[in-house]
Parts: sequence; C-alpha cells; structure tokens
Amino acid sequence: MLNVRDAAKSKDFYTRTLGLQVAHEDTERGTVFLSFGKEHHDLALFQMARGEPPNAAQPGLHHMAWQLGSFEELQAAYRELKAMGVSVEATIEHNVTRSVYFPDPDGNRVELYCDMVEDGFETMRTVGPRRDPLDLGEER
Amino acid sequence: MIQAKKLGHLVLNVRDAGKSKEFYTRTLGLKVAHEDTERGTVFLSFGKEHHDLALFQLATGEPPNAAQPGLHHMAWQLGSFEELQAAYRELKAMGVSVEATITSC
Repeated sequence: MLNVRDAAKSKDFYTRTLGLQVAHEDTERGTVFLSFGKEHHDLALFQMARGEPPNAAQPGLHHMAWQLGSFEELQAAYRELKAMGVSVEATIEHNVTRSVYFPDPDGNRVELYCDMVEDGFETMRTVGPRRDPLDLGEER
Repeated sequence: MIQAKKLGHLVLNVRDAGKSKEFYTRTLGLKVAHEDTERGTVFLSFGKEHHDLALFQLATGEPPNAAQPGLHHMAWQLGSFEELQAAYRELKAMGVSVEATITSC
C-alpha cells in the first residue's frame, strides 16, 4: 500500500507498467485498489502525500519487485517501458533474477524481474546474491 | 502489454539490519536466506523464493513523515482466522504494540 501524491497518475502508471486492473476506486477519498484479477488488491494507492519523497537516509521502502513469467517477457516489458517514456534506471543480471529498475511518479523504485533459478532459497543459502550489468540491447 | 504475475518481494531501507531481521523472523516466520553483516544486507524467505523480503542497512535518518509519499504499509497473509488470533496473542506476548485490528468486508 503506497501513500501517493496523485492517485490518478499513479493508477495510470501501475496499470500500464505492471498490468494491474482497478478493483475499486474512490476519487473523492483518493483511494485506488489495484489487482491482477484474483486478489482483493495486490497494490493500493492512498492519496495522502503532498511532500517530498524520502531521501536516501530515511528508512522505508527501498524498492518493490514484481515478477514476470520469463526473460522474453522482461525483454518485451523493457521495450514497452522505453516506448512509454519511463526512465529505466538500471538493468541488472543477478544470479537469481534478471531485473529492470525504474521509478514511479513519486520516486519509489520499482523492479520488474524474471527468475533465473528453480530453487531460489537454496541458491541464496549456498551462493548468495550476485550482480552484473544486464544488456537488454536495442537502446532507443 | 506488460503483465506482471505478482509482487515478488519488497526491500526495505533499514537503520539496523540485525534488529529488523530479528523482528521479521519473529513476527512473520521468515527465514534467513543470506546475510552479509559487513554490508548490512539480509535476505529473508519463507523457504521457497530467493527472497520475500530483504533488508538493506542504508538508513541513518528519521522515518518519512505522513506527508511524504512512499510505503503506507505492507500486508502479509496468514492461513486462517485462528492463525490470526494466535498471531495477535504472540505479538502481544513479544511486546509488539498492535496499532489497530480491523475487519474488512
């Protein structure tokens, strides 16, 4: 659940970048409940913020990560984000995921990723996290 | 069209990774998948995913105030009302200050 400055803008952003659908919206109260179509909500937006995003020294959300089904989907999503004009911050090859990072309208960092291993827990326990640059090609 | 499947994990910027690790393992039943005390990173998992929640010890300042955008809250699912009741009792026993209990729909 995110505290946002502009619920409509964030709704537009999250429906387009994650494929969420509106389960319930109250424009007067500034609340939007978004779902992938099964849960009551996977993400909700409360329009209660009017200040600046937290700075890096403030505790809180570092980023939230949303899973895609395959590397092909990640590549396609990367192209779509670029086409939408979303400024992709980083593309990383982790040993357990391939990941694309970008900011939402309030500066929250969003990650789209696909899994790279079957048993992620075991990989983390034995190998630990790794990161390298990920080349998704076709820079536009 | 981009179609994500689900929220995979959250990462929190914390002030004390050791303290937060202790809190989240006790209150949610998460297990440590990987920990690097030098870098101040902890990856927590329910035992299947590489991580369901990670903690990065990067914060030194005050929590965001209510006017700042960002995380409002995160919600973790239990299996039944009985489990919720038991969890409530355990939280109280741990000395966690429960802010509110709500029935929705």
